[in-house]
Amino acid sequence: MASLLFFASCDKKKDRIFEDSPTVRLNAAVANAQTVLRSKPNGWIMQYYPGTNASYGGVNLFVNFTSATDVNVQGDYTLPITSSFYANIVTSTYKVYPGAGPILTFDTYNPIFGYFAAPGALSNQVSNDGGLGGDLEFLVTKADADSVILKGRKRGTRIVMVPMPANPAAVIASYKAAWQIYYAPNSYRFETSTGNIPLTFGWFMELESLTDVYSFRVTPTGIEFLEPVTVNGITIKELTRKPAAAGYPNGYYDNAAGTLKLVPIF
Amino acid sequence: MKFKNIYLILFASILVLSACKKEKLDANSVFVDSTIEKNPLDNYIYNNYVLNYNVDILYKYVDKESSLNYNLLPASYTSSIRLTKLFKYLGFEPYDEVTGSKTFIKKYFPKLINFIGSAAYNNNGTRILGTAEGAKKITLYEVNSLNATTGVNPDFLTDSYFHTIHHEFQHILNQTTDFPSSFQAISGTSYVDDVWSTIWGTGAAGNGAALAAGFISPYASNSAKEDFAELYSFYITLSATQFNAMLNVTGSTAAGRTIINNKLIAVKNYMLTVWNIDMDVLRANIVNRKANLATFDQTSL
Repeated sequence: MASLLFFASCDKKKDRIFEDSPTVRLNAAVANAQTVLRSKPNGWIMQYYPGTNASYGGVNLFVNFTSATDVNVQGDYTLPITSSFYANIVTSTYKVYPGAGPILTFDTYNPIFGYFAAPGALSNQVSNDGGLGGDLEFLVTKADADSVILKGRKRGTRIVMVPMPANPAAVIASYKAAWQIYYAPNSYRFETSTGNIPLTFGWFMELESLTDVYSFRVTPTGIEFLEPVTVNGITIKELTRKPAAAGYPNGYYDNAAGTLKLVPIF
Repeated sequence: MKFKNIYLILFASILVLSACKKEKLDANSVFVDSTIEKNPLDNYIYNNYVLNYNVDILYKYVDKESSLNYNLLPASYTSSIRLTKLFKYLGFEPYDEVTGSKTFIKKYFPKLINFIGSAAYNNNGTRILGTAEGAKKITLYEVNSLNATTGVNPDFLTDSYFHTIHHEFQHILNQTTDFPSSFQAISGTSYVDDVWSTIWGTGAAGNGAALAAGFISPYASNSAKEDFAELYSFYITLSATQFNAMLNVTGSTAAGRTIINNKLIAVKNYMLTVWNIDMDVLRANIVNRKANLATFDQTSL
């Protein structure tokens, strides 16, 4: 017993696995996240999915961290650019602060994020108190020059940001135009050799069949699903937009093998 | 004797061993606040609220300071500037002038004011416009409704923010020194608790029914402490004409008004004897400030 006490009282300190203290490393991670966010003069394309399980579909938000506190935001879902690159651009504030890791928060009102975060009483989506359930605070799980990976703090949805390529005005215009084309029809259907599946719009971007909900975002070349989905035995992650053709006056989206079509219905 | 010695030795060795490896504590805290660049509103809040009143305003959304049960929007920067300036003009300065110094607010007002852009919507259709937590914090919702038009509308400001502010402040004064139990005896068993929102009916008819029962508003029938705060806040934020009109809405009765007036005497007496504040002087000050809203600068910092 005496020896037990002896060791228990003496072996107070454990060797550190890391050289620096947790606080030093956390502060370094916060500083790194802040530096990475501000390192892209053209900003980032944020692949934003609101709600638990990302069930309402996703959008591309164009976020540019212009100073230590200010961020400019645009969305592909807002009206097409009419006058200039800066049309529909909204400035608000952000902050990166230490929590369970670096936490990125958009902490003053921005109508673009606001549409997703608002209770349904304001956004007319889903439920009076719920709304689309978009997050405004994110844990930064990875931040480097290639991408920033975020995790929504309330809903836990994984959100990816990739750098905006050169000529942002044209890129944003192409995303906005693609979104308008996608959203114009009244409904859609999947077509495969084994049969068709009718699809209807649910809340916001969500497309749903009788049994499944499909969550994706629109890109300038087509649509990209958040996770691979299987339709009539065919697994897809991306579909490419094709122009009007015989029997498809409004064009369609199809997979690389040409075995599945997503057809707009007006 | 033998056992006693063994324990003594054991005890002594623990003391010796635990003391042998003394480590110097780092003078720096392991919690390091990140530094955020200050903007004009941050500086205004520091100079006018923190230094003068020891009160801070959180206008930037902080998740952990708000209720996670609700989907909330942050306050906008421009609306936050308006409310920050108006809060001082209609919320603090009347007390400063009536009591003769900033000490009253500095001593009793909650130390943290939290701005939220949207209301907190419940799934039953009701919404929360303001909350107070344990004398430490007041949260105001729907800050984004404040703009150039609503900012000069005294009735909008009273309904949306200042009724709530004075109501919550009254709770805090009550928590410091409770109001006499004789107040509770006036309406006695008439308080209805959580069914206040449905029992009187909706809209104007609901207000009339509550008044006939001796309550200044349906919410006042929740409990004696809400009744006390509602009476106080309506009285000091409304002009005599407005308050009388409220007492005489369709459906109200003379019997109901008598009960309300008896309770009002108790509220006024409490404010005068405990806090040395004459509610009629305070009301005159607030009403005068509301009349001068058009000339009050609520945008420059």
